[in-house]
Amino acid sequence: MDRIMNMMSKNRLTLLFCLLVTLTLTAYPVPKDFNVGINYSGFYSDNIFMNASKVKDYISQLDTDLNFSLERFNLYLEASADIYTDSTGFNSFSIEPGVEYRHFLKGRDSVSMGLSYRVLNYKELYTDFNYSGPRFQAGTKFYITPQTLFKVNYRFQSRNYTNYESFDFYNHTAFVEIDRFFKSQTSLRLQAGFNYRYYPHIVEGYDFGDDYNYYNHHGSQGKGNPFGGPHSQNLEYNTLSVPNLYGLVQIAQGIGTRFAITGEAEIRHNFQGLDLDRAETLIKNAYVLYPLNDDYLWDGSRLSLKLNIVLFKTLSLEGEFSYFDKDYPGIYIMDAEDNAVEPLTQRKDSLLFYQLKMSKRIGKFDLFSRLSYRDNDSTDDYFLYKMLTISAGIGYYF
Amino acid sequence: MSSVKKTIILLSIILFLQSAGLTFPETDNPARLTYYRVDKVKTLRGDIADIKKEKCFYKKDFIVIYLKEKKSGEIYRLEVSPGWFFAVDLMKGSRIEVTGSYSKENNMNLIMTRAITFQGEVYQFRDKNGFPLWRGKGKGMRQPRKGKGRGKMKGRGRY
Repeated sequence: MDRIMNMMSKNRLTLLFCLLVTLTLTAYPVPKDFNVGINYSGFYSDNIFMNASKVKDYISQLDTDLNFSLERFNLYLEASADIYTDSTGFNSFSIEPGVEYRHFLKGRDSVSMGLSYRVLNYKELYTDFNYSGPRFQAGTKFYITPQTLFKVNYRFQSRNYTNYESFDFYNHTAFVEIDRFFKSQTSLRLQAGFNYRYYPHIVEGYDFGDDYNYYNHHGSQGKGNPFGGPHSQNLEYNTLSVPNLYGLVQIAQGIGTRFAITGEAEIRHNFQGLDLDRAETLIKNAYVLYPLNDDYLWDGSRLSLKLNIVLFKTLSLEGEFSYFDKDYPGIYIMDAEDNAVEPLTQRKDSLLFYQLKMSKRIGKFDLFSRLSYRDNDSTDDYFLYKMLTISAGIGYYF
Repeated sequence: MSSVKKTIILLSIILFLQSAGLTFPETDNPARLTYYRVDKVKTLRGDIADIKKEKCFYKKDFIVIYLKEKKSGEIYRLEVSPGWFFAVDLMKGSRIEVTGSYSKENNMNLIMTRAITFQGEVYQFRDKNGFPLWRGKGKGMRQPRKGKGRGKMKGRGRY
């Protein structure tokens, strides 16, 4: 507890700054089509990297967004800063300007589009992961009947990692969805999606020995070298694509208006196993920096159960339990020197996930708090971990 | 009292109320001076009889729900929000709880909707004073609001 209090005291200055900005902005009237939002969230986790390293930290996250709305368009600018109390080399800042468009067709049917450009920069050790790139999404909604909704959505993302070009990728995601509502207050959702990630130039012949610092269990202070460091020899560029198909079934049952129980089952399948020689980039990209964003890598299944309750009219409580059974085709267990362990054993995980969430709106303030726990079992000892996260946040919109 | 004095007093009242933060949404019918009255707030439950997109407060794409109240069986017209702000996919037959400012005009029960509760989640459209939460706030594409009004606490996945 002392540790948490100590971490929090280090962030008092950040909090004071946030409060000062809030009070300053509230002192001035805001035009009706212009909106400013500020959020502060605090996260304490006993395992921020979600692996056997068990690195603890308290993270402050400051977000602000400016919106200017016209009839069908919205222009926005989002900025966000992640401030780590101990692992300060992981501090980052991102900024994203964008535009959104929504057009209504007949009835409640609609078409929407969004285009933005995101820039993210890390402070020190993780500058290999600095990136910039555009994001685009388009979607439609059609009510086939008053109780049946059909959706189609497409998203495109491109990232350019200036310090480590092997990480560059293009990502296409598309899904179709049908929602059906029954008089028994039962909602049924069927969704099928396709994810295609393409790495256009993966550098081969890279020797990670001296300078890769982001994989956490080495801790070198050297800066990542996109062209292979001192041991690099003949550079070759490869491409890699990871097509992934998924299907999802969700059934939600409302009991009255303030209580609902939701069950969800998802199956994912990779069309092709990865070639180990080409997988290193993916492994580092997905597991080190985006451990929860590896949807394009695993195939297997997920089962989720969720309870939603509203208390005292406005207090929302949510409890969730999920079980993941994940295979990582083509990704094999490696030792500390990143050599595949013989005999080749494919990574396979099973994850238990529990979460309790509470949210409430008080005036113009949005409040949330969350407690989550993960227990991951893996054939790779490096991914045998447990993780507890406590978080809370407050947001204000002018 | 002369008509000039009456006009001045009326204008003064309007200016005072506007400065006090009360909103006067424009209506299709200029004779109907509708505004959110906190002393007329009521909560009721029922099943959705219909959802339409209608012209409302001079806005073309306004979501209007016709609710059949559970106890009385009466139909209420719920004026909710512009379509782009209406992030929940409610459908005909959905059982909801609605809180809002009540009025009755031309034999029609009207509710200016502040919040809707459906399947254990709260979706907010106005603050407790009736100020619309959609003012100047995006097109609802970046983050599903799920009842948090304009707030969008992200709670990034990594932690």
